[in-house]
Parts: sequence; C-alpha cells; structure tokens
Amino acid sequence: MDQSVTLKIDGRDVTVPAGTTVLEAARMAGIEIPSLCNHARLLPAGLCRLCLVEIEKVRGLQPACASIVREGMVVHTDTPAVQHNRRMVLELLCTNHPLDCPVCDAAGDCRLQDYVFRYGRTTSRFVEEKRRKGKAIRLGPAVILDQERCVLCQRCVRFCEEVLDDRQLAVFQRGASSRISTMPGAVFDSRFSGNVVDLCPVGALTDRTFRFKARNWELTGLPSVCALCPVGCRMTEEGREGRLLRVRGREAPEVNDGWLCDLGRTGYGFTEHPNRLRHPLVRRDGHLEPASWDEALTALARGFGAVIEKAGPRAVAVLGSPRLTNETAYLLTRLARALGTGNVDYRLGTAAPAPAQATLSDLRQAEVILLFQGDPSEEAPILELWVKQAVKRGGRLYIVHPRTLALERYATGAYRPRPGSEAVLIAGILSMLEQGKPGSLPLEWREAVSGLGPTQVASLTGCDREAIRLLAEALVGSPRAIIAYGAGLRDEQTLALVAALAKATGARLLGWDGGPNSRGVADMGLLPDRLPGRAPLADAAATAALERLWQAPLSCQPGLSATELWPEMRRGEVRALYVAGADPVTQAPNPQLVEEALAHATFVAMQEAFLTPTAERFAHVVLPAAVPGEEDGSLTNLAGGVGWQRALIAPLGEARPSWRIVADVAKALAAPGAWEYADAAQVLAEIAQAIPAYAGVEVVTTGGYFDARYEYEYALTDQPPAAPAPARVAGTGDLALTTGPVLFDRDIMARHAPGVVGRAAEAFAAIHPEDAERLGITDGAPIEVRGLFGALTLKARVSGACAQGTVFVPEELSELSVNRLGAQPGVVVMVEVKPLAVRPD
Amino acid sequence: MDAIFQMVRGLWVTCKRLVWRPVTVQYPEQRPQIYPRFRGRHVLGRHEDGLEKCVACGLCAAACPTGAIYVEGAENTEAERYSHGERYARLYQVNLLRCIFCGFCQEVCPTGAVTLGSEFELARYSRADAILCKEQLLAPKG
Repeated sequence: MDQSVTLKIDGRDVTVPAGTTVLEAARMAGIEIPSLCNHARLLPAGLCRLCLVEIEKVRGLQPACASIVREGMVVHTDTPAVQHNRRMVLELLCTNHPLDCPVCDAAGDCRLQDYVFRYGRTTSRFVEEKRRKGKAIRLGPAVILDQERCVLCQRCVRFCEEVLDDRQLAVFQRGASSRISTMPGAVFDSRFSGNVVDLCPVGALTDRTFRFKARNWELTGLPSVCALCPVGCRMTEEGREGRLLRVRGREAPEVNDGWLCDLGRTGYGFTEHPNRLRHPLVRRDGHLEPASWDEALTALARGFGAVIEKAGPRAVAVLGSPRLTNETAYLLTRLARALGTGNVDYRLGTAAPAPAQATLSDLRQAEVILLFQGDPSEEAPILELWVKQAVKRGGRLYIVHPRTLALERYATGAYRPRPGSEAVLIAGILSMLEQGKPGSLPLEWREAVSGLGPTQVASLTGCDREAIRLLAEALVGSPRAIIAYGAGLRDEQTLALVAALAKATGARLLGWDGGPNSRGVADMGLLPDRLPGRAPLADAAATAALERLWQAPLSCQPGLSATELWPEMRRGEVRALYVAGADPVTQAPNPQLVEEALAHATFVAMQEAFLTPTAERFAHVVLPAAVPGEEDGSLTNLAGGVGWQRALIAPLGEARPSWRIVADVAKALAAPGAWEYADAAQVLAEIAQAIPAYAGVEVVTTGGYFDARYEYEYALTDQPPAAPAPARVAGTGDLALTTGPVLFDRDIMARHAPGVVGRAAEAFAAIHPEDAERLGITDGAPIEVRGLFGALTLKARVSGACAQGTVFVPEELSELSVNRLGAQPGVVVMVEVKPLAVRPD
Repeated sequence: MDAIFQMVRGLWVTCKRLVWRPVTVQYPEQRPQIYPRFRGRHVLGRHEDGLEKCVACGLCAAACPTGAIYVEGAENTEAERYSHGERYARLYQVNLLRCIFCGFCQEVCPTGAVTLGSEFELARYSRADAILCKEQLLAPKG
C-alpha cells in the first residue's frame, strides 16, 4: 500500500497511494467530481452515476468512485460527454424529486441542490405528475424519512450494514418505486441512528429534534467536544439566537471519526430545560429562596468561615463529580488544598481510572481485546463501533461481563464469572502466566496470586479452566492486545489486578467508568491522596512546584475519600461540604449514611445546573452552574485525548461557568493565592504548568486533539497487593445484584434532554428466565427488589442476557436510584426479588 | 406681441388652477388614495381555506438587506395545523424600524405569503411596539 501511482487528471499529473479511487485522487488534486453516493467512510457503491468520468483507453464512461487508479491512467473529468451525463443524471434525479427546497431542512447543505445549481439544467423538461411516496415517516426516535426526496444513494443502508453491522434499513421495491425503509413494523432505534442524517446527501433523512427549527444558513457553529460520555466525541455545536439547536459529528480519526451516538446528537436539550437553575438559592427558614450572587457568596463565606474558625480547615470537605471540566476540577483541587483540607474526592462508588496506555485508533486495530466488566454500548457507545471494526479486521474479542452483551456475537470467548469473583479470574490468569513462564510477574504479585491453582479459580469463578487458559494465551500471544475495562469495575483492588495483568502480558490498558470526564478529573488531582498529575502527596518536588505556582502553602496530608467522608461527617468531624456537580443522596453507595451525615453537616453548598435531591434537602446555598454548550473547558477522554469544549451560547439566566463559580467561591473565602482568571483558557494554561503530562496543552480553537497519555509510575493503590478472594457478600436475598449505566438515562443531564427522554426503557430489573419461573415472575410484571437500604418497585424484564442467580438493575434509571439497594464497590449485594400483586386499579 | 402672448399663457395656467380642486389631502380626516403597487406594512396572506401561506422557509429573512425579518419554523401536528405541508412559521417578526420597504421579501417569497400591503401608518410609541409579530401581520381569516 505504500507504493504510489502517478496518473493524469485533466492534464495534471497527480501522485497518490496505490489503491486510491479516481474520485479520491481527483479530490486530492483539488478537482471536484460530483458524487452523491460516495462517502469517505463507506465503501464505494457506484450507485448514483454522477461521478462518471472519461478514462482514456477504457470504453464508455467510468464511475470515478469505483475505479482504482493505475499507473499512467489518463482521466478527463470535464469533457462534453461527462458534462452531458451529469446533466442527464441530475435531470432524471429531479424528475421525481419534490422541488420543495423552501421547506426542506437540507436546503443550503444539500448535495443535490449544489450540483443542480452547478452542473444541471436550469429548467425542467419534465411535465408529468411526480411520483408520490411516503412523507414524514417516523423511522425511529431520532430520524424522520421523506421518501420522495430520497435519491437512493443508500448511504444510510450502507452505514447500517458496514459500520453498525445491524441491517435496520434496506431498499424495498424496485426501479422508480424503490424506497428506503425499515423492515415492516420495525423501528430504526439504533444508538447511532442519527448518523444517517449527517450521511444523507439530500433532505430525505432529517433530525427529529432539529427539524424545522432553523435553516442551514442561519446557524452558527463551533467545533466542540461532547461532554456526555467518556469518549469525548469531536462534534460541532450549531445554534441560532442564543439557542443550541443541533449537534453534528466532526471528522476526528483519533476519536469518533465523524460518528456520534444519539445521546450526543439529541441529548443537548437540557440547555433550555425549564427546571434549570437560573438564580443562586439560599436557604432561609428551611426553604431555598432565590438570591443574588453577592448574597449567596456572602452566605457561603460566612458558613464555611464559621466552620473553619471553629473546627479548622480539615472539617471542610469538597466533593466533585466526573461531569466537571478539567478547569473546574483543577480549581476545586486547588481550592481545597489552599484552604488546608485534603478531604477532596469525586468517586461515588467508582475507582479512579488508570491512565490510558492505548489510543482509540489502537482499539480499532487491536488483534486481541479483552473487554472486562464494561458494556461499550451503554457506557461509551462509539467504542462499540471500534470493537466491531477490530473484529472485522480479524481481531479477537474476549468478554468478561455479568450479562450477555450485544457485542457478544462478535466474541471469541465470553466469560461470566460469578458476581464478585472477577478479581479471582484475573488473578487466576496471572497465576497461570506465572506457572507457564516463571518470573513473568512482579515479585509482589507473584506472592499474592501464588496460592491460586487453576482448579480453584475455575471453581470460584464458575468459568471453564480451559477457556481461562485460552484467554491467557491470547493476551500473551499478541503484540496488539488491549485490555479495556468498563464501568463495571468499581474497586481499586480489581483495577490494580487488571493493571498487573496488562503489565504481565504486554497488553495495553484502556478504561472508563460511568462519568464523562473521570480521567481528567482524576488527573486534576481531585483525589484525597493525590496531587494534580496524580503525584503522591509525599512527592516533595511536585509539592514545591505547586506551592510556587499557587503562591500558597499546601495541605499535604491525605484527606478523607468520599467513602470515608460520610461516617466522619455523621460524627461531626467534618462539618462543611462543598459539592460540585454530584448528587450523593442518589449516587453514593450508602444513601442512609449519606442522608444522616448531611443532616449533621453545619453547612452544605452546591453548584449544579438542576436542583438535585441532595440540593433540595440539604444544601444551604445552591449556585447555578452552566451546562455543556454554555461553558468553555477541556475534557480528557478515556484514551487521554484532551478536547476543548466550547461555549456556543451564554449560560441561562444568572448561571455562571462552573470553573468561574469555583474561582468566585475561592475569592469569597479569601483562599490564599491569586484567583483572577479572564477565561477558562487561562486556567488551562495554569494546568499546563501544574501537571507535567499536560505541559503543552493549549486551547486549540479548532478543537484539536492533545494527547495527555502518560506513563503512570505510581502504584494504583497504596495498599500492597493482597491475595484476591471472592468479594464480600452483603444482604439476605438470593439473587446477586448487578448494575450499570443505561445510555439514554445515564444521568441528570440525559433526564432533562427532551430528545432522549423516553428512549430508555421504563425502570426495569432484568432477571434470568429460570429465576423468574422459580419466583413466579412474568415478563413485564411489577416486582419488588429489596436491597440493603430499601426496596424499589420495578418492571420485570425476563431475559436470558442476565446470568442465572443475578438480577440487573440499571443505575439511576428514571431517578430511581439503585443505591437504595446498596450496590457498592467490592461487595456483592444479595437482593430479594418478589412479584407484586397487580392491583385492580 | 410675443411677450404678451407668453403672459396670457401663464395667466391662463394660473386661472385654470384657481378653479381646480386642491390636491392637498386633508389627512387624517381624509384618507389618501393608495396606489396598487404601494409598499406598506407587510401582510402574511392566507389560503382560501384559511391556512397560512407562510411555510417559514426563511428566504425573506435571508433576502432582507436590513435584517428586519426573523422567522422560526416548526412542525405542524394533526391537532394544530397552521399551513399546508409539514412546516409552518412559529415566529414571524418584522421590525418596522429596520424595514426599508424594498419589497425583496415579497419578491423572494416562494409561496406568495408575504406582501407589502397598503398600511402606511407605522408610527409607534416604543421601539418594542415596532416589532410586529405573526398575529399582527396575518391577514384576517375569511
């Protein structure tokens, strides 16, 4: 492929790599050949016949999109015959095309419109009745189809086939009656369905959330980064008159390559949700009442000031969230450390992701992928496409997950260890590696796993011994192996084991959790035992550098993690809490404890875009924060790529960008150091100084890619590796609880986006058919799931995808928070499931 | 001789005007005559069945040299139908203070929805009042 070929196009010598199509070669040379069906990311189809060109010594006109360049080829793209063909094809396309450009969403961004204008006839010779087909057909939740406008380029069909490998769309009937449709009765509900709108060269497929809101020429766009999941897709925000109206994918081969999932595309409606907080709120006589920023900040300064004066700075805790931008997280860290407290964290029942070792391009080209405890389809959708692509290229996929994933049909091996025994499985592989090749493990791990024999691992995990051996061999045998762990991995002990496995096999690590910017927030040092850049607190050089930069003495004592915080707060050791973007009452693993602790707190301040249950019940001051689309800021994606999120519109009402709120709070609290920043870019510049791995990151206005991957020389946890054992069991029920995010109802933002509301299933609990039969549960019936701290009433979904002996309850589905059941890292919760009698009413 | 003739001719014109009706119109007591191609305030037309002609294509806004027009489209539903087809104007605003009555909007309109009508009394007490919304611009039903 590294050979190049020289050909002549319109008298110009063009040198391109062998295997390029004539169309692509012409494009590289700056010569436009019109085409409707050709698309750089889809295979050539040769359907529209608009790209026909003359190639010397070849009889007849040839499709440029499907002709591969040859040495010495002579191509003419502008001869009378070619022009005649273009005119004819366009005229024929227009015979049945409704000339309804004034009401068509594509007008102004329509290939057919452009080509007819440039190459077509000015008047039509067609006087007959136009063929009538379906109008405004609702193909699915995100896409509307107008069959009359369709030019049958089949880009949408090919996208479903080639990229999704899910043939939801097809061409039906023949000749002039051909039409695109779903299978009869089926719904085009792919998570990626919106991409066909971007692909459609005309206005046949339109975006349901955007439909008719503005014309293409009225929109202003900014290159930005999606802030809704850990992939951080590169996208373009488009809007008009202070409203964010449309989000489209942007070319970025290193991240999403132009595709977007429907959450990113249709999930930004929260910007104008009526429940958004518009003013600061201050609690007076037990009620939160609107106040001015000055009043709110004064109340906040008084509240925190009193606690610090009485009980010292260590009675203050800061809780962030993985939804924060790097700038906000960095300033929060700085604020906490400058105030003199180390009680700073963002993990509510998750582990801080290890720095990535692989890029997303590596994932697309991986030979072996071990997908550990992660479901890309729900947690980081674009990865689903990349895993499929890797398998298509001949890669092998191994899945370790408590449920049957949609990706399982691509898997070479699927492992369903007993809940809580995932760590044992990894340790078993490690011990197998050590047995196969002594000395391949670091010493401390050798000792930790030495006691685990293959038989013991097999009996503890319930996985086949031989299958485990195959997995170990696959990982060792490939130079392009990737271990991808997902949101199901919640405890640092297992993460350390996975990291050790990556080290021992030479596989590269890639991981994510449910939060969109977990990696960035962890990098910014929003952790009780780390400094920015994840340097340990004991690192004197890093501390000194930060003290110089911040012009303030640092509190370098390890603080309380978000898990340790609540008991201390209940005891009255921690009295004031600042929460940014988190909702501990619904997210923390032990809601009872959290509620008691918050009730004991002297002062709680929160910054949030919506009034969360925590804010409503416990906050003394609530500061309204801007949402993605309204604030600048950088986000670090799961592969360490830093992207710059742009503010297209101004924050709603009196809301302020979250980083600015933190700076304002710091000023109100008179925290040491300088807190004057003109914009988020200045904060980013300071981050570049503070964190070595981010040195050189700067605001690239085009939203470019900065690689902040770095070697992580510190141990993932401070605890020495312990012999992995099955996780502790809590609860008295007989089914093990598994949880995980659901894409369209993943957090408070998705719940406030009209475009995705209703796409997630009604709150459900999935249960294996045999368990269901034993308990007398039928599909769709209401059931009660009773866990450690209460019960949830859910709709039963009897499904073989759920392993026997487990019950799956989605996280945060429709605000029913699964934390009532007590799901927590490193513990298997046994829940009680019973059918509820259906009341006659 | 010639001079006298010229003088008489001049006086003839004067005398003739003396008996003519005055051309001054006693506005506002008396309404002026509006010529058919006069360009006054915009009117959004309706079809015979009462539905709005405007489909919110936004071409008037795009053609407007002063940016006096703002249009925002939306989709007709079964329950609420404003125009034929799928699209209607949710918002249609004309800022009379910006409008120069060039008539480009009328010229560019693909459905003949916007026309410059005969209303010329466009003074308002406030700037905000000079922004007319769709309801003010629409021709009455029937």
